[in-house]
Amino acid sequence: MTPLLEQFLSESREFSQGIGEKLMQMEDAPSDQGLINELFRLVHTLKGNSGLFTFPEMTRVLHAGEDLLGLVRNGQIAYSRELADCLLDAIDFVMVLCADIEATEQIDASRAQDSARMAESLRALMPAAQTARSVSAANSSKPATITQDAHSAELPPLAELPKATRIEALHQCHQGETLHWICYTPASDCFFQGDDPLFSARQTPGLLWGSAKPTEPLPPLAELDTYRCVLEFHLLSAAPREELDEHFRYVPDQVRIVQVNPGWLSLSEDSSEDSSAVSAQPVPAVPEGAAGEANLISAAPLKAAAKASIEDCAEQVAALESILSAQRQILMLDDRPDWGVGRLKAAGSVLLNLANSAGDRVAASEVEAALAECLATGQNSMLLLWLEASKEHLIASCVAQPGPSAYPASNPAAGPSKEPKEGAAEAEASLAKPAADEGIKFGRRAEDHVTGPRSLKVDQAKIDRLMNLIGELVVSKNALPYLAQRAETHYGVRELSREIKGEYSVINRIADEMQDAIMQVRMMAVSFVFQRFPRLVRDISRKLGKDVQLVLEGEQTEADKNIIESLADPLIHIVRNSLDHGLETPEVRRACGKRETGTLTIRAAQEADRVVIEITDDGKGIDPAVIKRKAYEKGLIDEAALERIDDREAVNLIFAAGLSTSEVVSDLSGRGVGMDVVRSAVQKINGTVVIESKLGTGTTIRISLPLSMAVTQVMIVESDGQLFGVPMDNVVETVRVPRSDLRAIKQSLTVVLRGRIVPLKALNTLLGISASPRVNSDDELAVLLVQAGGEVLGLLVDGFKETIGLIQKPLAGFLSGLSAYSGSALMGDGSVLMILNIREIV
Amino acid sequence: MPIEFKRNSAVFHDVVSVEEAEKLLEWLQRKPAAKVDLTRCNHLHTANLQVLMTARPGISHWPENSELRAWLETALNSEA
Amino acid sequence: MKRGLVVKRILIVDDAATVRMYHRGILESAGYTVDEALNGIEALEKALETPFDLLLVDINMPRLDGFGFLKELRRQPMPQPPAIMVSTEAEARDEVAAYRAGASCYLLKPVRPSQLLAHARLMLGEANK
Repeated sequence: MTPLLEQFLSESREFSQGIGEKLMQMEDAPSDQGLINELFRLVHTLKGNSGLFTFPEMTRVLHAGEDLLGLVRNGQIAYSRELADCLLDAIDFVMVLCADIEATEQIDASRAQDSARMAESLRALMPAAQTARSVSAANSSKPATITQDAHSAELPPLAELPKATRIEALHQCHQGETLHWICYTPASDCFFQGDDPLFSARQTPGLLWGSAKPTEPLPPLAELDTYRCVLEFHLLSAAPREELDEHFRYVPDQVRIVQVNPGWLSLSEDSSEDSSAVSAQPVPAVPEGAAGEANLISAAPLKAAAKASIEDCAEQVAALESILSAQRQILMLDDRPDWGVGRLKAAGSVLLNLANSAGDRVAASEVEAALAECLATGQNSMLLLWLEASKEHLIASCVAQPGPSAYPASNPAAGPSKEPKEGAAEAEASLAKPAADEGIKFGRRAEDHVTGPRSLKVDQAKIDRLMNLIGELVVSKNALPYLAQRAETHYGVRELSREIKGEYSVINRIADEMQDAIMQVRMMAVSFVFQRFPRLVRDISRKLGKDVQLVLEGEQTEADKNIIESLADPLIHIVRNSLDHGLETPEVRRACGKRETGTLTIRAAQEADRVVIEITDDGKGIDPAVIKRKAYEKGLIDEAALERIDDREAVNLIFAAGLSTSEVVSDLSGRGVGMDVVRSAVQKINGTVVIESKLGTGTTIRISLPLSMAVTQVMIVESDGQLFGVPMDNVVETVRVPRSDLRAIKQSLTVVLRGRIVPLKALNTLLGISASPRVNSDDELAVLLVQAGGEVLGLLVDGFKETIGLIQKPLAGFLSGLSAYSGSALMGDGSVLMILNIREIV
Repeated sequence: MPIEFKRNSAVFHDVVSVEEAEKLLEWLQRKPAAKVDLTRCNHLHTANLQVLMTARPGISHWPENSELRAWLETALNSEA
Repeated sequence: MKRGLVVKRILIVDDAATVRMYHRGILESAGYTVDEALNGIEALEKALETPFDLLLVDINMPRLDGFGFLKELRRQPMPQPPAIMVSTEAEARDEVAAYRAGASCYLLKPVRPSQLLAHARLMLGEANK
């Protein structure tokens, strides 16, 4: 006995015992869903096990049991005493079969009838519609039982036997042989099971005669369904009953076997004449069963031999087709579950491996590129397109690939390291597989062979270096306008100045594109940050005893790597806050009339040149009154503000330093660390964060970030002879204001612009420079309107210069302590421009 | 080629599988007067037998395999 | 048989010892390294600890079924191996459910040895080697 069979028997006994116990327990708890599920699983598993061997008698009974329990599980039929009895009988029968197998390693053919009867009694407990679906036999109008008792069955239509056959049969009966009449009615869908009833009929042991008849009137040719079996077979056999049972063991419910009573064969007319004919001419039309089988056997080996050689190949093609079709279905799924990215990656790795299997490196790199694109765009179309386009040639190369024995181990003509050369590719193709044969099969150009994978992993340091270089290039490029100016003013060569400017515009364009290209390389999908949330949310919500559904949207939205990376901590903080303070426990939610499961949605989207991320929960929201009171208590706002600020502003006070809303410092949201940390982290990458909340219905936090932090657009302003950069994000507009328009209100300088009072501050004052702002010849002051923290104010400067894109470098060393500046940048003339941190200075 | 479709005759070779039945049906629909040559046929899948029983084409040659011939003659000649 | 230096690792996830043994026998005879898990939870633990090159996943299992296991695995930020789902349900909707959950293909039990090997080799990228 093989170990597998031993394992099967021991597991079968264990499961049978378990099924028995569960059935007993169900007597006391007939509606225990857990018990029913477990029972179903045991029977299901046992059935699956039996299917690994050729034990159709066992499988049939267990299948019926599984179907029955499936109906109980779905509540379609109720558990009953009768049902339990029937199942217990079936399990006893399975134990008997196990004993058979233990003794002889097979099941006695005589068990087929018991098995069919057992299955039928199980199916008898199901509603009629279910039985019709499950029982494959199409002859539902006829009794499906196998009966050995000829008297109870209708008399077989022996009259259809040709006279000569009938005489021969009678002759054999008289010599003491037992004949059987078999009526075989295949299931109408049997072709789909791979059955060929004519073949089974022809192979019937001891066959004396057989005929095929339609079970129903045949339709007109045009209406014939070729895949539906409409024939039944009548067979006369001289083989013993056991042999016939064995032969039809897979279809016992489709055959009726009757022992032939010699009396039925007796001829009512012309008996003497025909009796004499027997000895005179031995039935020429009907050959003996053995001869018939011999004929078949002679054909069989031919078929088998041909089959063996192509079997592996056919199996592989079939597998490949099924895998390809599965990937197609997977890629066409239109749901967007939170495991969608993983699912897409899996499909990608399957397709990659199919390409590798075909030995096709080009195809493999195409898959990698398509997958990268799919992951980046969130659309499956690239992989789907690749699949549609490459299906045929993958299958073709699967057929054409040599088997293991044909694989050339070493090749004198083309060493493994030798790249196929252009033009020579075809010549080498027959020798150097598989690398070279792509050229012929797929009609690719030869130079495609040397193409590496289309996506590469690059060390970040190399990208950073490129980034620095392009930064330097931009700076050097900016020296050209100075040069042009000098050529004109210093050397007086106007022509040269113009030419330099012309060249500059070309270099400028290329540098811009280059910068853009490098930034594209640095782009990363927010899924990098999002992917950790499913686990995080599950763990935290479980810990807090809350039921939370996480919805992620726009995971493929891209932004610069630095932005994405610095997004992680603030986002985690916000999500923890939502779970901890926002979403309620199921009990509270129920009491409020909300769905017990709370929803936390994290959505990313690109809006113009910004990435916007929204974290929304449908929790209890923030009470503006509470925030206001706390802010006042902590001295963050004065009494006047307490009256003045509206709810929206109040809620946004949550970002103020030192305000922690929750009374309890929970273990999750951190110790006293509030949302101010989030705000400063977001501001550090030039982002903004706002909050909207409705008491009782939920909170939305909206973070807006630049797509890229690499290049900052700054406006250059002059003050006291020095140049400063102001980020364009802060600049609202530039105006010139007559000095006479300035008004002093409560010691502070203001100006009315478009009906609005704008406070003014001199940049010199803010930076501690004693000089006062200069006016131009028209006695006008230069005012730079800037936005900081939601307020607009005017900066008095000496003059405006151009706006440029530059790469900001953070201040290093002792300069890093200067909060008035967010960074510095090298200018084209070699000077250093300090970039003002508007938020800090105003 | 398990079935060789000639201009006016379908020649069956060795074993004719279930996949051929659809083609056979279409061909016989287009050529009602066509004949079938079964000389070299050793077996045909039940689906093909059904098509022949429905279409009832003329049989130009019966199979050399006498056992198969007996089956086909019974099936194709009875209650014509 | 030519194969890379690294022997491919396959995880069989099935609650039936007989089925595990059957599949293990087929796969080991072809030279693969095989590990087993008795349910989805155990499978998840193993798959997160060491990556596998291919998964063979049953549907109906105690504690966490095949669908649940695949969904959770596909949520993980890690390389995603192909997964063959083995089932006894021939209905198209069961097949689609498997794909939705993250299965890479769907085979009906019992899986024939040659059929299993053909699928495994293709999905491991080493058919024809």
